[in-house]
Amino acid sequence: MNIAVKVEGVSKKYCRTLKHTMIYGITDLAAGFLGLDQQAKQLRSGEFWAVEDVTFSVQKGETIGIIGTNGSGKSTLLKMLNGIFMPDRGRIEISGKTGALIEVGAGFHPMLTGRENIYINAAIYGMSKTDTDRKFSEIVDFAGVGDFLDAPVKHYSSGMYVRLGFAIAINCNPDILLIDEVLAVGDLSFKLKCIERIKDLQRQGNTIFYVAHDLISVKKLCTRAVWLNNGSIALMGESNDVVDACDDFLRSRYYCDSHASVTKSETLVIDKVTIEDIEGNERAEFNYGETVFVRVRYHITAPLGSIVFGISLTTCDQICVSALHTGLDGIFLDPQLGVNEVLVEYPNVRLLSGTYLFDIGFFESTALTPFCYRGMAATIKITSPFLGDGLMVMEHKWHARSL
Amino acid sequence: MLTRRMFRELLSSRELIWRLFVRDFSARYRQSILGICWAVIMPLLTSGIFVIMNNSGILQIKGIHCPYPLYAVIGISFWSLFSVGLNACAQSIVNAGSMVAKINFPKSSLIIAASAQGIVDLFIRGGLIAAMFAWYGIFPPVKAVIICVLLLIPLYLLTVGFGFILSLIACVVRDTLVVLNMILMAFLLMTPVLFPVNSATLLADVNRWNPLNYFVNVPRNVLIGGDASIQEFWWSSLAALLIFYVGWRLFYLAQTKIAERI
Repeated sequence: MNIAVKVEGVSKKYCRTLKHTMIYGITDLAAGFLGLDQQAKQLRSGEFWAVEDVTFSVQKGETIGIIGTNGSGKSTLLKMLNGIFMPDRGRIEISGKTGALIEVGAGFHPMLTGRENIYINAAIYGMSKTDTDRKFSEIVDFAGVGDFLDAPVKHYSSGMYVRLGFAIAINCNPDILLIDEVLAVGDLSFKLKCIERIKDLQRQGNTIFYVAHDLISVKKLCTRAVWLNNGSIALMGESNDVVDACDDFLRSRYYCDSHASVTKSETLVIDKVTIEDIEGNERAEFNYGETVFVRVRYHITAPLGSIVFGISLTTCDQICVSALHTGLDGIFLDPQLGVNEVLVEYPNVRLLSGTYLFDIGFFESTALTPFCYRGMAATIKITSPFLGDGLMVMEHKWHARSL
Repeated sequence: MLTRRMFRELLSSRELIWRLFVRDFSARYRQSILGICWAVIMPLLTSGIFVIMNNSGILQIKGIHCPYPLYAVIGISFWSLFSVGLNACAQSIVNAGSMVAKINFPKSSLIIAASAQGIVDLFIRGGLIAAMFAWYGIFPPVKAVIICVLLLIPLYLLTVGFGFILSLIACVVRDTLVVLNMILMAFLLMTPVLFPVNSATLLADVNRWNPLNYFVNVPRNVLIGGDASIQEFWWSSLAALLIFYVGWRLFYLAQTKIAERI
């Protein structure tokens, strides 16, 4: 197979402070003037590796997702692939012309019109005037700036600005396209148009690098993914596996970092929340259609009277799947002093694959103010064979016939 | 070879240089009333001040072969090829902003496009100079005009050469532009641009080693008549060519390093 990009042991260092940037900037420039290449390979004080020892190779026609937390080195890696920076260590081999959507609209002059900026930006991306003339109407169509074509771009809405930038960059037809988080801006229709365009490029056999925090789009667009953590590759492989691993990691770190929202009370204390299967074994991973039990142990230190118990299930994107409380079904708890228990049974869970969170709480009988509330009290991971979209599979039957 | 790669990059970025130049040019005057007239007003103002000083006897200007206002306008126009161009070059990378760090393109295009600003200004001022010649009824031979323009090439090369180096330094240390303008002001007053220097003075001795002296005065003397120190001019031109090449080469080598510092 044809190798499009080969990255070998690539590292890049940055300075932490502006002072060091200036000092090293001057000494590096001076060293460059004198033809010395001093200390490029070691860290000096105040420097750190933004990308360290990254190695991978990519074949023609692949779409590679690059994921990781903020500051994990994704953009730096992309800029090195684009040739904006040279790696301090290691080497990058690229066959073909690279085009980058790193910051669309970079190089726009605010005083000039959209039309003028199209020609300037296209020239910056290396397109000739004749090519730009040929592509002009396509660019304008794609950007959808319409009547504003001859208005200065400083009067554009931020969406139009980005659309125009994206339209120019993507119409330069690079062999290797680098996309850095640009789809996050722009409205849904534009986003869909971009994704459509990216899929076109995939069909034409272009190699694409796609940096995103939107992990679902990585799963959908990419064949393989690289997960960067602190500048090094944490995992590389099939995009689904890598995204899941990264997702789990980010979530576990979030739990450690954040104090999941808790409302405490002296009189009612939640002791333990466990997820169990039908046989009473504690489990965190379930298959589609299984029965899930949530067991909540709590104790009270003073009589409370009648209370309700509420539980909600949300996705990791904070979309509520189902929020219920016992009062809705006319059930009121009457806990006694000491240890009590609530057991919730969810038979036949029809959720799609993913990680879901339980929030639980005890409320006074109107279910408005919690005595005791615990967000993200437990998580479950569901594996489902269904590839449909949405949150769950609704019970359904098909009735098709000719009339 | 490195030089060949530099030339190839330059050739392949012709169109980009043109686009960037058009961009700078049209953006520069887009929201101004007087627009391009500023290129004429500035030298008239500077020369005017010196004409007044001359007439009121503060300056004693002797030994020039044409009316003093003409002399001053030509001098300041030639000088501005250097000063306007150098200023524009030194700022060009910093002004380009995020584009330098976000798009991969030959950065030397920015410098060359910026240096053309000095040429445009000189071109406009050429009109002013021609009008003044006509006003005074002096008509220099066409051959002299052509030679004079050719003799300005070394000054342009010197401008771009320094421009390459200063633009890099300005990315790292932002004081560069302030210091540059101070130095330009000092050189304008020291170099015989607006007044001739009497020989056998300290200033004349200093200016013997000042290539800008030759770059301004030799083309001007070709135009208005006067002695042209041609030998020194060639030596200075050689130095300018060297500075141009060294600046360009350093810039070419440093351009990937600069993207990360900006």
